[in-house]
Amino acid sequence: MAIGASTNAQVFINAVDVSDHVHKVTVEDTRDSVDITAMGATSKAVTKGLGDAKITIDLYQDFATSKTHQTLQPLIGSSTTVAVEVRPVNGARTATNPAALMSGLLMNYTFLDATVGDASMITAEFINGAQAGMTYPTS
Amino acid sequence: MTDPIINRYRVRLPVTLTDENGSYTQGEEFDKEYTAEEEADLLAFRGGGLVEIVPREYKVVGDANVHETPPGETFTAALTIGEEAHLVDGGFIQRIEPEPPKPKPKTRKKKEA
Repeated sequence: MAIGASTNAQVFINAVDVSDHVHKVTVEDTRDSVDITAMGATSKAVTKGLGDAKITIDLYQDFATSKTHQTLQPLIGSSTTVAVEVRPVNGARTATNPAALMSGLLMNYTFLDATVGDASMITAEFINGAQAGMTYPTS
Repeated sequence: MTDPIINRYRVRLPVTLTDENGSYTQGEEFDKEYTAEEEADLLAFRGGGLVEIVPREYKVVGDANVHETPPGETFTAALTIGEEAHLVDGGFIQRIEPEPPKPKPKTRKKKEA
């Protein structure tokens, strides 16, 4: 896939395709920075610590059947992880369209963030909930 | 109120699982109502799982695509209790219960002349 504007990413929450309501999605795969600087050092030394992952999705709020609210609201009260998957382009997973996949817990759900005259957009933040962390399947 | 979810499981490891209904060895299948936590423990046992969920058929009944399946169509998946509860309670999918096996029609053997 060449460099280009992102117009057609695909986002699944527990296998439900919510792409047609997504405005923005951010996938973060991080490692703690652990300080291992010892006496005598002249500069800080660091190594990598535990991994973490997060997927943040900005969606247009929709209270209709099977839409944004019905997809997300049950998950904020649940401690069961669900698969959250993001693909750069709407289509099958391939080597050039790899998925970012995580078993996540919904930690933040903005029910309503409304301004008069603006589209009602909300944010859902999923935090890694499994030892596998973020994976990048291509098939 | 969520209906209890009974899933079908297959024993993965060379061990014998025993419950109030019987004993099951590697490769055997059984129906059981676990809690989501119990199921998660069994699926995560030693990294690979003591049991695996036997996939079943679902119909997409909501307005959204689920498991890359459009509304009105069916898909087969091994959903955990938590995943299924979210999708069924939210009106996204419903289970398709397998039809009971039809009794075999009795056939008479023709008498040989």
